[in-house]
Amino acid sequence: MLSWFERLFQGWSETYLRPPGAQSEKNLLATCIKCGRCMTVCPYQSIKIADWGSKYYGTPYIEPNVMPCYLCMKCPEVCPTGSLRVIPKEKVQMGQVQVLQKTCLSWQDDLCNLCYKRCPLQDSAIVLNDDLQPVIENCVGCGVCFYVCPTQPKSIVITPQRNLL
Amino acid sequence: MAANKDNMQLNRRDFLKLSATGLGLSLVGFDPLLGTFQAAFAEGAPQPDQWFMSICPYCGTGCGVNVGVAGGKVVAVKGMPDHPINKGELCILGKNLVGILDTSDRLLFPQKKDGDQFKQINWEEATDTVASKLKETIEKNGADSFAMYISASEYIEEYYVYNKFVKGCLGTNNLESSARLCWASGVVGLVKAFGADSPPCCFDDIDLADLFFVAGYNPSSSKPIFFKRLMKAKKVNKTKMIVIDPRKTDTAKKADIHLQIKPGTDVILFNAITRELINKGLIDETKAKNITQDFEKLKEHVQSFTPQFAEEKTGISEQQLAEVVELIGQSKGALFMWGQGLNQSRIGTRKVTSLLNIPFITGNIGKAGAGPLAVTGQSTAMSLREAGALPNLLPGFRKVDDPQARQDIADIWGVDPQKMSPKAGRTIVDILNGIDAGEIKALWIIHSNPAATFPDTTWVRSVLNKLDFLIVQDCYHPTETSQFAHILLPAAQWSEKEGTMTNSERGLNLIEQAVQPPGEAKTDIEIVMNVARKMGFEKQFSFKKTEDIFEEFKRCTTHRPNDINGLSYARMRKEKGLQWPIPTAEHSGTKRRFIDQKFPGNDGKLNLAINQHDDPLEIPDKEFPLWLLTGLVNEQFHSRTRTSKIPALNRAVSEPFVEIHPDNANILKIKEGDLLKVTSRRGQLTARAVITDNILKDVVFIPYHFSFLAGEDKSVNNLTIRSFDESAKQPEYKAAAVNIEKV
Repeated sequence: MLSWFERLFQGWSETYLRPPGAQSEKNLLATCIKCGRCMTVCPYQSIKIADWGSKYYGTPYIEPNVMPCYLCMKCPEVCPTGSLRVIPKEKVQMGQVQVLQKTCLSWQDDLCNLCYKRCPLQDSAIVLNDDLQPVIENCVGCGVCFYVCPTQPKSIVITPQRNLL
Repeated sequence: MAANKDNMQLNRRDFLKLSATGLGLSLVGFDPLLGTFQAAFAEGAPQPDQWFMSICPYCGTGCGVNVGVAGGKVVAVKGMPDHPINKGELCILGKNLVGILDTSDRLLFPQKKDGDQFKQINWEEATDTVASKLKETIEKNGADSFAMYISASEYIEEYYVYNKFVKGCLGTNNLESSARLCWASGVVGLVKAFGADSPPCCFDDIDLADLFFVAGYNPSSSKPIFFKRLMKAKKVNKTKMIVIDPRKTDTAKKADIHLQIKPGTDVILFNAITRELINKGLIDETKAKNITQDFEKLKEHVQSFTPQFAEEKTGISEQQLAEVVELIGQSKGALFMWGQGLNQSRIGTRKVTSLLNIPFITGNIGKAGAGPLAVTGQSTAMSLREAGALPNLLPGFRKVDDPQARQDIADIWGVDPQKMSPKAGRTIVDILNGIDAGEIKALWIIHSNPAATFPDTTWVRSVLNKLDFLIVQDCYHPTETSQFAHILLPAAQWSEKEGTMTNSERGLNLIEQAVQPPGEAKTDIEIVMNVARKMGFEKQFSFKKTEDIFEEFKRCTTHRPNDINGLSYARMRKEKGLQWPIPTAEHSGTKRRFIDQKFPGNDGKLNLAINQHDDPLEIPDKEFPLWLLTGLVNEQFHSRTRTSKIPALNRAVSEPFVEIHPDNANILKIKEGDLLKVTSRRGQLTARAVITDNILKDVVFIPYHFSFLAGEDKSVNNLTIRSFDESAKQPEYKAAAVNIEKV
């Protein structure tokens, strides 16, 4: 995780997610007019705009460790260029998630399941097996599980998925 | 301005210092956005050099924990591997216990209200003020003008001291507890059905049962370790589970049959199940008649609750009802569990007794792996009842209106029995009404937060303002309630004091003191005893240590249901979770009660309940068309005085939300994440929408953890109604009519 000091001088990080419904990275960079409407409409202030210091300047991103996406799907509706496409939240592809069973409290001997309890696509993206351990299934990568995971370091890894259509 | 400008200017040395600090902070990983030192969780964290045995202070499951101390501070809390309840496992609240101790809002010094501000005073002055004010109030207005309101998370010794002080020394029975808000109806139901307060089962029964019947109860969120045990039994023994809940909770999702009942109609459903069990010949009538009273009366009464009638009222189809009846009929041992879904209602006691009819007529009682198994929401609601710290009780499940009981206890306490009041004291609603009417002048609140937790917050706040003298004894300040105090007394909390806890299966455990209380905070026992001594009760409170109080309490339990004469601090250090009755030192505790099929009621029989359904005080109408349910979430506990201090938990849920059915959302054009204004006849709340088909149409759910410290319009108790169970006086948090609009 970056400190605020490092973040100030960081134009872009490969760990950032694109907002839900985003086109492939190439198309997004070509079509996004950097209007910032997605950022303004986001009720959770999850969407930020890339700062100077990289070629991504002006485009929207989500940093799941600071504030993940809750899949309310308000941002694609205001996107004037279709860089963010209006799709059902189940079809979103923002990232891929993996549970690290060696440190996950529920896979070890305790019981946590915050990831499951707060998942916006509960019982589809994350399911609980018979031993009440979280298993990732049809995850769209919104990052909520990563955000709420209480272990240090986190027992959930999220990898952005930017180049899929 | 000039001075300011000078301050703003940095010389080169300062600049270098600042840069070095910044670099240092980023190296140890301090993140102002998260407010956490990650280094504290990593390998560099101090290693505990001493471990103490304890019990998690949250719910009534009573998980054993080991508390690790380094340098006079609690630095680690781990599940106790050899504890019979949790075998080392902990839920997310227990995992984060370290964070509740050293917080910036700990109350460290006694404070007195001076105008609008609190001003620090010393203990001498605080004790003097409290003692003289109480004396003055009681002399002027009588003992019944004083009341004490305590929590249900304290220790037996503390309950015992409060009880002796209020009932024995001051001569009023106005000693009330916040257990009223969560388990009053449940306990009154048990008393009505059994003839005495006596939870019969133990947690080991979970492994022996072949059916779990769970009504109005979501242990997946409220008692995770207990739920894990249910799920383990379900996996290993293929135990079936029936869940009755208007919401498809995480518990209901794991059920074999989920009855998504219309809120408030439980009595009809239970009566219909009873009817079908009898009419289909799935019970042994001779046996039922042997152990119960009024069987014929019940049989006749339930005939009008036909499956068609039940379907119309409860929304449960005839086919589902038949499946449930079949499962119960075939079961060789069923456990019946319930929670706030039944208790928090105007007819809560009726709901509970109607539910208990089912195990009684099916013979699911007095044998291993069967019976009612109730786990309370607060950790020591059981201890509270044993120690008699309720308005109608005395230690050892004695009643205040029994002259012999008063005599027995007065002998042990060393007080005049004539001075003890024979009249049951006030419940919390009567206390607040009494304040409103000017009959209660002084109130002492210990570790409780009624301004946040009682229904109709606006009214409660106006009432608390009317008090002549409000003492708030707590470990945190501000809380919603502490702001109304005239005097604040800083109390020690869990890990900073010693005592005994009883969990919901009657198991007793010793809590060791691990660290010293911070600042000038004292243990609750010390604070109350100092005031009592100041008021002239030195003889009654000559205890030197906590163990002396426990020894005196033991004398109150002789020949009582909760006889613990066989227990001592030394024994509890070695043997964990022994269940009362434990009459002698050789006795190994009582796992199950009533195995001999002899019950404490009339003629040794169980009482069957003949109950009618009644609607709540307020049902949805044109103006307020939606039914409001309140409840808890996994990540927070009650009014958040403890859990709000934990960043890891607040990240998951930090504000209230409104669960609403997609159909209602469509009509109102509400989308996920929209800010909603929820109004009732009493107030309003603003929260974000969560659209889910886990909830019934025309019903909304809002978690109850948030109150006006989180924001003036964040309290769900702005909306709830002052409606109470007819016999237990428990508030009805699960029925209020509300309207919703988009902000």
